[in-house]
Amino acid sequence: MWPQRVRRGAAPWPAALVGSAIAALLTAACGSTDAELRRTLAAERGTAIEVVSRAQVESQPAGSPGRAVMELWRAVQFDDAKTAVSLIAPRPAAAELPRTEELVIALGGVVTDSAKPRILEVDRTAGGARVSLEIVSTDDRQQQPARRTELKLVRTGLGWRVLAEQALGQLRKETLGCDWPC
Amino acid sequence: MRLAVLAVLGLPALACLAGCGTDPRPLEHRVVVEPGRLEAESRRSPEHSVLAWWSTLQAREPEAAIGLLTPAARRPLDRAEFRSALRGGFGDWVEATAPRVLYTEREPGGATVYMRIDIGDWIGSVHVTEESAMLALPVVRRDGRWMIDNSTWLRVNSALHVALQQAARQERTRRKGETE
Repeated sequence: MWPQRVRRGAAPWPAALVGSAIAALLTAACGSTDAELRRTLAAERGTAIEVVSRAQVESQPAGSPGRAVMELWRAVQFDDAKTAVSLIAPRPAAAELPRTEELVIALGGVVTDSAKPRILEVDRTAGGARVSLEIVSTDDRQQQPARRTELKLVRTGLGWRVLAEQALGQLRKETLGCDWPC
Repeated sequence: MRLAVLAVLGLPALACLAGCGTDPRPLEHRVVVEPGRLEAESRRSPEHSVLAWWSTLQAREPEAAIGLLTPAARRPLDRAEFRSALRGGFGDWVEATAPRVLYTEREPGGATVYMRIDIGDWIGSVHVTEESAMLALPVVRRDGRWMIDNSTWLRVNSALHVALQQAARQERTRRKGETE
């Protein structure tokens, strides 16, 4: 969902222009390439989203816990509520489904737009798995250090699914800055 | 919960509304899926259906847009809210976008179309992109055509824009009260 992405960090246009000009001068002074300059300008204008590619998703073995996590990240990043909810367990009751979908989409982009995940470790347990993730901010303006988190998964008849309560709890904490309800 | 989520997401936009004044409405509404892009997709393809759906939003035709949703996707959609949003700020916003299909993943009975949406403004047939976002739409085949099988993105954005419209009205009323 994107009209909100305007608010998520893209600088107002005049500020972006000034920032771009300064960035252009700095990078030019450092002898950067045109490609670097284009990247800098794109980042200033908010067009440089770090998208989870198909190749990154497919770098995890099919049917593995890591693949489920990467597919979930991509679904949230692409505002694909149907896929995102299909990758969590337990599946919300029918009455709760629309609200859960809206929560995932409304808050998910805040986390996934300006960060990319890197799977550090997959630890399988009886009937479950823990996936350790490093989340690296891709927004240089925020200067956030990489942070680590862990997602718990369960094996269902349909494959690996991320435990909903923990995942949604983390989402709320990351975006609202508190445990729900605040 | 919905209001809290909208509050979190909408506050900066409200700040912008307060600071930016009222944008003049466009003089005319255009269908602005990039010229040639819709025609480039096979009419029977999921990609064509998704771009055709997008063009119904840009043309501010809510009934046509709803007509391309599956019954399961229509059910949770607040139609009055969607119509109001499309007449207002949501329609303005979507009109100034340029969708591009990145790739499609097919599964039995359905597909997911992954898109990049460039956001900015149209100057003639040239789109000036200020930022971009990603959207993936699940589609399923029903009665010989591809239909959008989820309305969450539409619901969230409709609710947000209606909330923004209400907040802008309140802000105008407040300012008017201050000047009188």
